[in-house]
Formats: sequence, C-alpha cells, structure tokens
Amino acid sequence: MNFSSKYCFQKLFVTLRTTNVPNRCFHVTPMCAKATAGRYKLSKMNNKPLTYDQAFKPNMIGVTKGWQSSHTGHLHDEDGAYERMYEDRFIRRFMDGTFHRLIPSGPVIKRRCNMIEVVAPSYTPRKLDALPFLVSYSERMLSAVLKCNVKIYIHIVYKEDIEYKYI
Amino acid sequence: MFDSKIMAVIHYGRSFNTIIRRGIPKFISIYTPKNVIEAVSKNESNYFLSNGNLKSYFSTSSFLLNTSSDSSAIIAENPDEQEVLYRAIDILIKGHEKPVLESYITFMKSAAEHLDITVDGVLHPKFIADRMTLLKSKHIYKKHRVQYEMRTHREVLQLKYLTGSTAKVYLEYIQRNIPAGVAMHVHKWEINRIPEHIRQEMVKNMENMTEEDWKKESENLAKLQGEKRTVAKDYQEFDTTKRFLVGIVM
Repeated sequence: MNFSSKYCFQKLFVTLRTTNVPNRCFHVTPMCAKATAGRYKLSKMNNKPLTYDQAFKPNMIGVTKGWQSSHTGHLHDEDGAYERMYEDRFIRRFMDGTFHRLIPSGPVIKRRCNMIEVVAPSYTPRKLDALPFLVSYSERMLSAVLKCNVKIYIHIVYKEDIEYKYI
Repeated sequence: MFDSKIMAVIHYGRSFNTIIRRGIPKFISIYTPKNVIEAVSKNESNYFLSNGNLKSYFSTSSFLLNTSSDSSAIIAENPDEQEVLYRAIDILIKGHEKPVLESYITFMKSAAEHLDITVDGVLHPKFIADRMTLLKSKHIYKKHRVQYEMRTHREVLQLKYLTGSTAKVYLEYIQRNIPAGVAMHVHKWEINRIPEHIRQEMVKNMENMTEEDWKKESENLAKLQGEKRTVAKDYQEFDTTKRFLVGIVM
C-alpha cells in the first residue's frame, strides 16, 4: 500500500466531498436569562475593587444589607415615592459631580421631617481645604433646589480600608 | 388640713402641664407646692372655697396683659378656658425594618415614663405585604414569573389620659427624634362635655330611675369602657393587597 502523503490527502479530499455536503448553518446558544440588575460585572483579571456595600447582591437587601435611601414614600398607604426617587437621582448625580472621583460607592440619603441627610464615604482629595468648601457649597445648592434643609456628612476613608472584595 | 381638694391642687401645681402652658419660668414659683402649702398653713383649710373660684388664685392675667403676642400668653390671658383632654392616644408607626420600630418604641416608652404619661400597652399588628408578580426574563416566557413583596411592619403605642399641652410636648419631642424611613399616625380620642340641653334631660330622667336601672346603667358603662380600648385587630388589614398584583387574580 502506498502511504505517501499525496495519496492520503487525495483520499481524504474524496471522502470529505462525498460525506459532508456543504451547507450553511445558523448557530444559536441557549438564552442568557440570568439576573443582571444591580450586580457588578466580573473583570478579566479579578482585580476590580468593591466596597462592602457593593459586594452584597440585591437579593440581600433587607436581610444583611440596608437601603441606599430611606423615606416613607414606599410604605403601605403612603404616597410621594416617585418624587423622592427623582430627588434622590438628582442628589446622587450632584454628589458625583461635586465630589468627583472621591466617593467610592453611592451616598446614603435619609429623610426625616423637613430634613435630608446625605451620608457618604470619601477618599482624601488632593487639596484637603477643598472638602469643607465642597460640603457647604453642595449643602447650599441642594437646599436651594430642593427647598428644604440638607445636611451632608462626609467620612474620610482610605483605599486600603474600603476595598472589601475583588472580582 | 389636707383634704382631697387641696391635694388635688398641689398635684396640679407640680404637674408638667402648667409650667409648659404658662410658658414663662418667672411665675413658676407661684405654682410650686411649697407656696401652696404655706398658703394653706397660714389660712384656713377652706381658703380656696371661700374665695369662690379656684382658678382666680392661679390666674396670671394681670401680669401678662399686653406683654407679648405668644400663644402661651394668649392662653394665660383667659385661664378659665378649659384645656383639651384626651382619653387615649394611639401612635401608629410604620416601617420596613422591624428592629428599628422596636428600638423606637422603647425610646417612646422611656420618654413617656419621664413625663409621667401612662402607657397602656403596645400592639403588634401583622405586617402588610405589597406583592408584585413580574416576568422573570426581560421579554416573553410568560409562564416563568417572580413575586416580589414589600413588607411594612407596624407597631402601636397606646397612651392613656393626657392633657392637650402634654400631648403636644410629648408628640413634638417624639416626632423630632423619629428615625428615617418611619411613618407615624396619631389617633386621638378627645373628651367632651355633654351638651347642656341633653344634660338637663338626663338630670330629669335620673329622678325617675329605680335601683335596678342604676345597676343596669353602671353595667353598660363598664362594658363601654371595656370596649373602648383598641386591639391589634383594629389595625389589621388584608395580609396581601390586590393593588399591585399584575396578571394573577387572587
């Protein structure tokens, strides 16, 4: 028998031609029905830092994790939930802008009576003098817009302390 | 010397209400029990009665006229005006977290103790669950659903026998210290006088009543007073609400 490479190739080519009829396929994988809301995506190198608050998934809210904003709007037989939501959205965006790259995870917003209390951890900024100015500035601006007393509590934290988990 | 009427006066002088109500600390010394006792010891035991009106002794209208336009001064100008009395006050608090409510209840209880307010009890009605049934996936697959629920826990603090001014002070103190995310409803039961024309008829009827009638009446009264207390069932609502249900009929 001839086992030369040329003969082999010829035979293989013939068999391919006969058995595998060339046709086009539409390739489909099973649907990804995973819950993704409120969950953080994994990074390639598993080096994405998360804070303690971010590390818990949303199904743990009310069990081991608290709420990011607490007010009476969403209780049974109370109203004003959606207004609070829009206000919260505004406050969050405002805080993100003024304390740019300083707040690791979203601020906690508490309401009682005519008062809004915003509590947020913050890294140390380049200029430490800027922090009290930013606090009072944002308090003034927010209270002017929301027409009520706003208090902002900033806790200075260090990166090593606040990184709870890497994913 | 200390007959029941005078003792009552001394108690009135010591109570928290009057001090708050007059609003001016300068004149508190007038109401302190020491002075009252001295007044009693100097004069005869029926000193107050001989004067005609009890309140004339305590009236401070001459001091306070045309001094200020505060609400306290206005009250003091006409001291004969009767204060609002409450038979009971129920304070209902709602929140998503039960431990928060419990700690707040202990706070309210201790505040009531310090102000000598009688706490009748604490009710724990069952929580309400607002349920929402939604699709599990973002799109289609109607058979697969998830049910979310929002629970509102509730607790009720029952207070007994308050005057209007104590109620005001106590409620304001409590409401200033309310934790975030907790709602409060206050139910008050006010005591009112029977109107004069009905009262006259009642007096007329009393003359015609026999002993059996009196017994019956007293039994009825006891029953009524027993019923007046609120129970957890009064605050019970449906365990689930249909309001938020989507797709499924309960």
